[in-house]
Amino acid sequence: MIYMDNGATSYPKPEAVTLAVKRALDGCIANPGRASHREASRTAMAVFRVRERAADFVNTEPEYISFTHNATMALNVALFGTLRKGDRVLTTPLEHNSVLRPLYRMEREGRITLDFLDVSTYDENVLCKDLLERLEGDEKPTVVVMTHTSNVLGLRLPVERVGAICKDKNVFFVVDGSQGLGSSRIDVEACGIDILCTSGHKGLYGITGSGFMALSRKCRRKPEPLIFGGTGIASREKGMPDGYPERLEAGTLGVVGIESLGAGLEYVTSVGCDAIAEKTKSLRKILTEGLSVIPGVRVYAPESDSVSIVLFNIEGRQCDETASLLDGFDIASRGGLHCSPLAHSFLNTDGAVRLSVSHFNTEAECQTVLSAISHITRGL
Amino acid sequence: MANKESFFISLGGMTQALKAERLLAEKGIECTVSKRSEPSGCVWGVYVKGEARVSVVSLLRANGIGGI
Repeated sequence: MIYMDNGATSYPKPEAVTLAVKRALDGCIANPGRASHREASRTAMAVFRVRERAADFVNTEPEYISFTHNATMALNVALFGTLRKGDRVLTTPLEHNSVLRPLYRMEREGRITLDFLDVSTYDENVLCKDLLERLEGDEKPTVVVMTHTSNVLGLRLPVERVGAICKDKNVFFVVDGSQGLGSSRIDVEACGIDILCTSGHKGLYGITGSGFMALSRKCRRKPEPLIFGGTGIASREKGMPDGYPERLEAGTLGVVGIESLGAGLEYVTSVGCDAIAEKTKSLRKILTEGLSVIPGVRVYAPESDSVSIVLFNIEGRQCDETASLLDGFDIASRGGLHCSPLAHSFLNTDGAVRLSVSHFNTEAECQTVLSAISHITRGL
Repeated sequence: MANKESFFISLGGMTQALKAERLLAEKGIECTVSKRSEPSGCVWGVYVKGEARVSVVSLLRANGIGGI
């Protein structure tokens, strides 16, 4: 099989990740942070090492890394746990439903107002100008929530520039790093990010069920917990402990997933984010250029800074039909809206086929995919 | 000269205790991560031997560990 659905979850995983899963099943057998026996201590230390590694990767302190089951959980805590009544929230049309649905919910409840930045030209200058103009207006935004990299287009948004503006204007800044981390190393301090949320199983190569939320050292609003329960400490208190990460980590941690994430982070660090980005950009270029010369194929491809993802449709075919036909060629792609409906409205599609590569994909695989799509367009 | 003693420093959660252990080890200070019961419930911290409590607490505080 040629796997090009890495935007949903990455495959294959590095061998080190597979080994880490096995090692965790055999060696991290106890519940961390509860008992003080040897096995519990060993497991707690293993989790702590991953916490340190994640903190180092995004430049914060280990206690500001809260492990979650996925990016959606991290974003829900980051948004429901920090946004206040009266907040004016700005986001983009390129967001995933893990951002949009929490915001829609709070908008419907009357807790926040919601508006969208201009990304229509794919030009970061236009986006930043739009943000600055809104900050000069009467209804100044108090919060910006933005994806680092679009899961539909692979387009990188100017997080560092937006973060600098937010820092200067004291605007709370939350970033969804799910599609960006791995091909980018996001420094929350340098980018002026208050909270960074990510899955662990995409560009960081952990297993499904892993993710984390990172608070910057200067985070202007620390999240209130959404999940309440046991933490192994202060058990007589009716509320969650004050200290992080325990305040946000009720219940038993997913130790195996955390260990896989640690191995994935180590792998990405050893290969280098720049090298990963360079490879996925070159594969994306092969696919984009190859698709653009196949009659009957429409490619949605901004020429701006994009990685990993190519979006297309074949004239006269539903996107899911095309994805299904590709499956017949043993090629894994994804048709539909990719949980980002506004991005597709913005592109004026009813859905499209997404090819999302990782740095494990090859040029030969790209040529095979192009050949299969060519066959499909000719009705073969 | 401050008395050298054996003592427990309460740090809250396991993460802070492990962070303290890492720092103290770097400084050559022997300690063990351990847990004990307090009125609010269990608490994690470090058990330190043969050091002056005041200097260890100062070191941890200077590094922002445990909110102490």
